[in-house]
Amino acid sequence: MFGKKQNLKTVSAETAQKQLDDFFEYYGYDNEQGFLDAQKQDDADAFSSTFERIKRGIKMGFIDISENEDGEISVTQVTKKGSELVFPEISAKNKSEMRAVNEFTKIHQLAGSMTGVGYEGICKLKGSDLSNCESIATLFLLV
Amino acid sequence: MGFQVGTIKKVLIDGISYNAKADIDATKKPRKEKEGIATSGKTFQKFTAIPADLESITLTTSPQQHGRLETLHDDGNVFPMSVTLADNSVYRCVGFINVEGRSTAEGTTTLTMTAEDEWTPFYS
Repeated sequence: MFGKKQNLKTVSAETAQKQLDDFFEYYGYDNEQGFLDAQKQDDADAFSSTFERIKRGIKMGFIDISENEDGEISVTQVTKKGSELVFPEISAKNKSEMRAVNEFTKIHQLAGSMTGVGYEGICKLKGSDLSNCESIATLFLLV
Repeated sequence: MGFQVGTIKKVLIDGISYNAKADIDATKKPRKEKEGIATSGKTFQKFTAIPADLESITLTTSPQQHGRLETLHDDGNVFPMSVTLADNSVYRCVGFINVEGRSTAEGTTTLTMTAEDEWTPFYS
C-alpha cells in the first residue's frame, strides 16, 4: 500500500531476535540481554527502543543481519524503493567522519561513511527508511 | 544525470569524504568504445569493452589524505565509492582508484575512479 511494492523477506520474531543476538555475540556480548545488563538502567531503557525498531525492521524484511563473505557480521537495509544500504563492520575511518556538532548529523555522517553513499546520500532517506538507518548506525556506535 | 550541472558536491572513497575542486570536469566514459572498420563492403562496427571509469577527479587533499589515497591505489583492494553531483544525485559503486599524482602548489590529488561493475544511481 505504501511505497514501492517489493518482495521483502519477512521473518519471525524469533529469527529477528536471533539475528540481533548474533550481532551482539560478534561484538563480545552473550546476546542483546547481555549487552543491556552491562549498561546503566536508564541507558538500557533508551537502547531498548532502538533495538525494538531494528527487530521490527528485520521482521518486516527491511533489515537483515548476517555474516558476509569475510566472516564479518554486516547489516543490510533495504529501502521502500528497493535500494540496498550495506553496513559493514565499523572502523575508525567511519567514526572520524562524524565531524558535525549536531548529534543527528553525526549519525547521518557515520551512516553515509559506512554504507558508501555519503552524508548526501543518507540525507535523501525519509520516514521509516531514515529511522531504520539511524537505528542501525546507532547500534554500531553502541558496541 | 539531472538538469542542474556544475561542481561535484562530494566524493566518498572507502568511507572517507573528500571535497572536489570547483572547476573540475569529471568525465564518465561509456562501457564500450566503438570504432568503424572499413571493409571492401559495409563498414563494421567494432566494440571494445572498457572499464566504467570516472576520469579527471581532482580532490583537495592534505598530504595525509593524499597518502591515504595512495595506499588505496597501491593495495589492490576494491572498496565502496560514491559521487554526489551538482543536482544532488548520488552515484555509487564498488571499485578502485588510480591516483595520477598530487599538485603541491594547488593541494590537489587527481585520480580516476573505476567501478568493478557499474556506477549505479542511489534512489533513497
